[in-house]
Amino acid sequence: MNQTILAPQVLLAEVTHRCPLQCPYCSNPTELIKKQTEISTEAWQRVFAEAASLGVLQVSISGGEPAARRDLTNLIKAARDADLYVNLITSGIGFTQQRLTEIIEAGCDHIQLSIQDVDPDGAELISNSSGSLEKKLKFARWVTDASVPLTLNAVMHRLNLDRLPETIDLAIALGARRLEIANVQYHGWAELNKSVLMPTREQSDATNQIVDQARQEHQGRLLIDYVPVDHYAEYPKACMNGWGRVALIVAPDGSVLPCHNATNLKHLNFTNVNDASLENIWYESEAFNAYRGDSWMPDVCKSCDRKDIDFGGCRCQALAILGDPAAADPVCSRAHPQNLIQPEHAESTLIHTKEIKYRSNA
Amino acid sequence: MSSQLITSATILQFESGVRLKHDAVRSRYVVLGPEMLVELNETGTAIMSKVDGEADLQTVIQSLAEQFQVEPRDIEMDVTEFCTSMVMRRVLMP
Repeated sequence: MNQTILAPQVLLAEVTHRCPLQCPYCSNPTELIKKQTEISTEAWQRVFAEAASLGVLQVSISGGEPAARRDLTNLIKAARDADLYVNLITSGIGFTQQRLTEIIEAGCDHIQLSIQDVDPDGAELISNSSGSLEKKLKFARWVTDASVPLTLNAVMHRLNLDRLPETIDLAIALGARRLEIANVQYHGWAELNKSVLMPTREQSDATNQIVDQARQEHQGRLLIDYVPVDHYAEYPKACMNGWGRVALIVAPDGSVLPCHNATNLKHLNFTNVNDASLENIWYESEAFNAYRGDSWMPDVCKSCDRKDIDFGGCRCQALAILGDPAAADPVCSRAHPQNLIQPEHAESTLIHTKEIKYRSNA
Repeated sequence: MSSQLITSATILQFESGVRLKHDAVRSRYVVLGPEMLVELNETGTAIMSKVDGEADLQTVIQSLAEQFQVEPRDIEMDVTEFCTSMVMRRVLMP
């Protein structure tokens, strides 16, 4: 593998961990960052400018719910002033039409709206917030009325996978340009809720077929991105498109991370944007270099022809399941022919929704 | 995949929220769209530079032929195919 470090293309700006919803699969770490330690508008302006000169082309402004920050309009303007393409990743909750207009005028290029379920009760169960679906649908119409491209991000799991066809229909009805059908990735909060959320293998197989059909049927109209159930896969996912290879994440407190859940890797120290330049962190820091290239890989990965496809898979999963962040991804059927991942409870038909552990407030 | 998605009279324009950008760090042009990045080679860049929401496909081909000093019929198929693929990816809007 080529050891040359490529310039990053994508910045994920997690501007806050605060969120009005409490989804039990939230991708934020279980130790949430508090409002008091969030970095300032000026610090974000500096981050966007440094990212652009480093080679970043796209920024995704995400959270938590980014709208929880009162300076969101200024953050978007700063990102656009740095000549970045600005994606806003939002729950749609906490917006008025006026505020949406403001962020569009500030230069927001694209909006990605999450939906929990097409069924209002299902959406309420997952978000732990009443009326969330109705608010989201209203928000989606404001976005398309403003001619801003809309992506619907549907996080799928055992409780809503059977309504995937209706989810695709909704994306069409709303005039979305993209649909992300993203199965829950079982880290952090989702790991705590695996017994409730993990789909059955039958659901997973049916999903693959439905997605194939929908892609054909809506070709040229609705672009569909699909993230299958990791635990049923034969090979690891290309987690983050490789560690420190394409993307970097800046957390609400200014820590710079190679992946959302990197803070789980307690042996690594993550540098803060207030202490070093992004350039220095990307190229020189120990954390970003820890799992780059193949020198860290076990022999079974180093000699594998798939290492340029999956870059060794997911380090957090290796730690969570095997206790060693440098082990081969536990999903991999070549490295682990004995099938290490037995989805817990996945085949049982009883669903104990009372067992849901909701995400706490930041 | 339908080849009749666009004809020589189709006026091409970028979809909303999609734009061409010079990537100075990597000395190339790219198309940026909703969580999308399309790397362009020299030919792709030449084609996309001529998309202005006014020129139809025939005019784009004519203009490229002059620029590269070739016969329009020699590049017609490749340019049409490229533009069709961009329409399918919702980079361009017919």
